[in-house]
Amino acid sequence: MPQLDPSSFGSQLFWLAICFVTLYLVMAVFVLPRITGTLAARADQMEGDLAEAEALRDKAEAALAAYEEALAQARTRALGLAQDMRADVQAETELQKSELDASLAATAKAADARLEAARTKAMEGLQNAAQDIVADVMSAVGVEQADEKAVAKAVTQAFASTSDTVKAG
Amino acid sequence: MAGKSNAEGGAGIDPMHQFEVHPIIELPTVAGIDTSFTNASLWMVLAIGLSSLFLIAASRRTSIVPGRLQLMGEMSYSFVANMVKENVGTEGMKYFPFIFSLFIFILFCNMLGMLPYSFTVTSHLIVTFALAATVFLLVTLVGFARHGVGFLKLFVPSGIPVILLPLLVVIEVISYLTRPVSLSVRLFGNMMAGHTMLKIFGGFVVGLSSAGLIPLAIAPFALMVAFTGLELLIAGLQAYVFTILTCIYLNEAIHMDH
Repeated sequence: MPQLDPSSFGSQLFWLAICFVTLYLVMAVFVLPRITGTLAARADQMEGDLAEAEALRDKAEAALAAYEEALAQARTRALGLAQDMRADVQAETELQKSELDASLAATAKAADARLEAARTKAMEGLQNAAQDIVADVMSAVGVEQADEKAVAKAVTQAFASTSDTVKAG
Repeated sequence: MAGKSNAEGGAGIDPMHQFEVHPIIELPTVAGIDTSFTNASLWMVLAIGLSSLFLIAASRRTSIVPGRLQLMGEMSYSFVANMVKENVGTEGMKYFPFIFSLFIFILFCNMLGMLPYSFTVTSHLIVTFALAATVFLLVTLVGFARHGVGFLKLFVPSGIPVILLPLLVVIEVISYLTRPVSLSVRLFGNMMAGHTMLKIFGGFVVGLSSAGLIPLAIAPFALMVAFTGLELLIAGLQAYVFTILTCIYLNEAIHMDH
């Protein structure tokens, strides 16, 4: 059995030591640190990508929330604007209506006043005419120098009662 | 080194001939050590050369998405790294380069031994024993460095009646000291037995066919093919077994959970 021949042990051990130490050094210095680095870089990149994806998703969700909030605000504002507009229109209408009412009332009042003035003037004219007629009648009858004051008083009394009946009528 | 045996004639093939060590380049003896470059040295150099070439090429230009070669390198790395992490824990990663080199060296020596006309480095007890002794020394040194004299508690099992203790301590010490023997003999025995068997069946095939009995040679030939497959499996498995036992011993030295 060649394995039990001690004459080969020396050279086998010598070359085994050289080979194994060389392999160890190559592995420990060149190969393993590189692979460790690559694997770590890959793990980092995957972690980074996942984190980025999560951040982007959070951002998208935030954007959606902001959009919905903006939409709700816009809706509330539109509702408010519509209400304001309605109130404005109503107020304007009321104002115009009241102004119109006021001007109509003023016109009616003025017309009434003019009517009253015309009536009063007509009455006065009528009274003067009646006095003149009374004076003419009296002079025709022969009553000279009639008491003008008494005539005016009588005519006025007669008119007052007439106008009372006219007014009552 | 062993003399030439009767290598003439198919039936006369010496199955142990393949394990003979003969110098290729005679070198002088330095400090009592014969430094001659032998066929064993050649296959050791080939093993470390090929494995270094493969792993350097695999780790030379690395990218985040690996190519085939890079992936193979990374898979060997992860295979051993996971073995260390699972059996020793993260403290064991300090010894990862050593364990990785050990695995790669044994694996390449075993696999190269499967080539026809090659020499199987790991079929020599002196080589496997040197590797096992290195592991044994490392484990023992790590144990004493981490726990001091307390490392000796490893030999005192807990929860045992005091009367049995002396006996058990002796058994524990013996089993600890025989570890390098069992570790080296396991690898050496597997390699030598497999290659011897292949050679014996090969001898049958050559002998029977040269005697004109080719139909009779079919059965040993088929067996040889089957055993070659088995041997490839064993070559990988024994590298794994050697490595995982190293991890288990290291774990014991670091954590002392016996």
